[in-house]
Amino acid sequence: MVRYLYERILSAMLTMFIVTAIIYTLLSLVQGSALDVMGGSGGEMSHADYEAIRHNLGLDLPVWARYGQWLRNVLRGDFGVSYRYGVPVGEVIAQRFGPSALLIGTGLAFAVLLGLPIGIMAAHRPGSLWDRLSSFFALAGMTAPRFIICITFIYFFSFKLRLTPSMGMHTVGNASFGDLVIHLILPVSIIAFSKMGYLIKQTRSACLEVFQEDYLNTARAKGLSETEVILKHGLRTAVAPILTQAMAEIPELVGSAAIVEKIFGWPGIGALMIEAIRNRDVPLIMGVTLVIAVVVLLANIFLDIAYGLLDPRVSYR
Amino acid sequence: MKRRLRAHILAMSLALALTACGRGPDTSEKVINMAFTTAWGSFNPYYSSSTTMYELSLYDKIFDKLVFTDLAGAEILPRAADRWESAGDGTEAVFYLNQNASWSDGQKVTAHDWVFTARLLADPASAFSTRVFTHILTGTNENGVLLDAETFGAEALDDTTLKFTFKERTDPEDFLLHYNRRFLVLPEHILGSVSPADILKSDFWRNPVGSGPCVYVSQMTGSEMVLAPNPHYHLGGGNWDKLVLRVLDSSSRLTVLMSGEIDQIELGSSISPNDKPIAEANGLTVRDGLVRNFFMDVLINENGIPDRRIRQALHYAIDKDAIIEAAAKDVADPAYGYEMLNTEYYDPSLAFPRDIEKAKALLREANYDGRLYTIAFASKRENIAALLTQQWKEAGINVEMVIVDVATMFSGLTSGIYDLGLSGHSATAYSLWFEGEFPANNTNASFIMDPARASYVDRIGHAIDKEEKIALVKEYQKYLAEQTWFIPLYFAGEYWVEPTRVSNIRGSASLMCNDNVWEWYVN
Repeated sequence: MVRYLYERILSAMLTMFIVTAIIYTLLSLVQGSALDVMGGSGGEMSHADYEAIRHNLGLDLPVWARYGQWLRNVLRGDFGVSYRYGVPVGEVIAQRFGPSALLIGTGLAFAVLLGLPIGIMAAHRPGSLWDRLSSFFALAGMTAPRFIICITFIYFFSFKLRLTPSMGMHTVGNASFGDLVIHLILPVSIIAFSKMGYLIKQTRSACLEVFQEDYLNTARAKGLSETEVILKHGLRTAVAPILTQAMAEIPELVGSAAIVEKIFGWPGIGALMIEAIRNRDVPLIMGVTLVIAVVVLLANIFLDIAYGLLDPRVSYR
Repeated sequence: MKRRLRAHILAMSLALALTACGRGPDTSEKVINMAFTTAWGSFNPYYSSSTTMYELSLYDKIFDKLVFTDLAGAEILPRAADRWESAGDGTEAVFYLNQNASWSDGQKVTAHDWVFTARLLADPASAFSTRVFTHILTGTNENGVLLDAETFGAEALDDTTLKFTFKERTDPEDFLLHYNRRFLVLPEHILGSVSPADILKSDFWRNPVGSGPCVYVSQMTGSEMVLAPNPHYHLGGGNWDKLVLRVLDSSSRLTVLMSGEIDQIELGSSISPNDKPIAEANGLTVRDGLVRNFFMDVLINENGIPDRRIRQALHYAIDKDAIIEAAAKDVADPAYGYEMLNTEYYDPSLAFPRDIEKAKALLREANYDGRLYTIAFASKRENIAALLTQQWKEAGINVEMVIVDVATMFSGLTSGIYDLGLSGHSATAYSLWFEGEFPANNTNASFIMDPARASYVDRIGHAIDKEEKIALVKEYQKYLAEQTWFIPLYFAGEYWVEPTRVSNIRGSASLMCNDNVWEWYVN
């Protein structure tokens, strides 16, 4: 197990190196730089000042040299200074990581908590009205554009019904938990709604397969209630592929949450990333990329460990 | 086991309830909620990673400016300067500063602070990304870099009298219209000890001391900022306690105004013509903007389309009324040059009425070979670009559309990747406002390095006699129309939502990147 973990972490580090190198190279190929955003192309700066700032930012170096410099600094714990905000990247990310983790974590938790029972019930009575309704619900969640869902939810719940605020993480001057919860309701609902579809589908198909197994009939013959049969015996076998699906959603979730964060003015790293790209803020883009890569790789390692704990047939080699 | 579980659940519920009831909102505070659709960067007004009006609007609250401008510059009111006058045969401008102006730490603002700021901008070692206006002062080179400290054209005659000496005759009001919004005073008593080369590293930018109407309280970087009134502000303060700036997506503008979560949106709470009936149906009061100063034009890369006849054909092929109908409905007028309709420089004789046959004739004359041009634009201008492309197609000009962000568009025009671009500008009453977009001495997206143009700009800039200036501007616009380095499309006003909770807001002034927050009043 320890050896396995050691190897996984090594391979994760290699993956991170490759990911950051690719992103850095792609960024260098993008039209326009931070200097262009500063007004370098619009005539704001003289040519001499343009060149001086380009040099100060290191933008006159070849891409491999810039990446090498960035990597060396990162290994020393220095993520650089954001071009736009003028403060250390680590500081900006530290401010914005918590809100994102809260939003994504709560959204995913609700997706699992709701998607799991809906999927199980759909699999328990395939072809029933419940099954068809849940399929429709899952399909809607998977296919409806997130942008449209956000606007629709805001229109009905914030504007028409005046039930929830439509922006921000809290009311100014109100740091209470209740206020946070009220602000979380809409964005979390959207994330949960859009992620639940995949989980319902996955749970349904995993459970359908397991529910046909003979050992469940044996359990029933022994006099166990249907709930006990499903929860104690059926679900245990089905949970591995469901967990895989839930974890596999994390990378996509980080990306799609950016849209939700942007529209709801939620101060997360997704919205930060959008602004960073718009401003060609390379140190910040790389910092956020690194954080997302670490989260995704850690989620994968966690998934591997959880898999082994849940399914005794899996061994670590 | 069950009992222990119950006890845990009970304890958690109690903790949650207590937390929820913890610190509730302070209802006695008068909070004004303001939204920005683009996040601000650092507090440094001279090293902004973006020169957007949004950031200028933020700096305006922390740092003071010489004057307050409204109605696209038609109205210039005192702010840090009580009055101003031209001197020295038109080459000098003297500003008489308000004696009560103070920094937020209580120290007095003096003319020396203004001179210090100008010196810092001109300093050869300065790490700032802009020198704003120092190139027009004596003692500097064409880029605004200080050459001779003795003759440097910024001088404090006494604590409250500031004098600028220009290289050429310059009308003080022209100076103010052009540079006021980007010239913000910095405190010498704090930054005076910092080397110009190290100025960006100063902690000052994290918690700045300004002499503007607000003081910084706190922020979540790039997402939310809390400001409070500056108790020392010489023009006074409104009746509010906190001004909260929040970043929101532009698609939520109307919703947050309708739900009352936001009192004011940056640059005047404007909404699109399509949103007007919805806003009114939901109880909001929508007003027609007082000025139509949003200038939309097609940028042309002269290197990409060097033949003037093809550029003119592009202009003749455009139906500006159709563009206006699609983009701005009844709050816009066709533009015939870069000067606004309500100025004396406006010249309706420069109209390029749509004439497809003339466009085709010009193309034949220029031996246009059907080459495919590329127009770049931001996604929000897609409807305009689509119409233009269609209209050009009718004249036989092939243009493909590329949706990019603004930085990419300007960079692509400069590097020659794109031939055309779509750009919006905030026009002012200053006769040469558009030159700021394409200064002759620097890089510019259209590669216009024309001596005749530079000569016009020079003569207009230094003309003090009004009649002479008007005649020169009209002549210059005619020249620009002949050359067609850009195609003016329209001047638009805006529908803006009148706040219900806050009064005394000058919505039209917001478009000049200044807000009269010291007069805002929470009802």
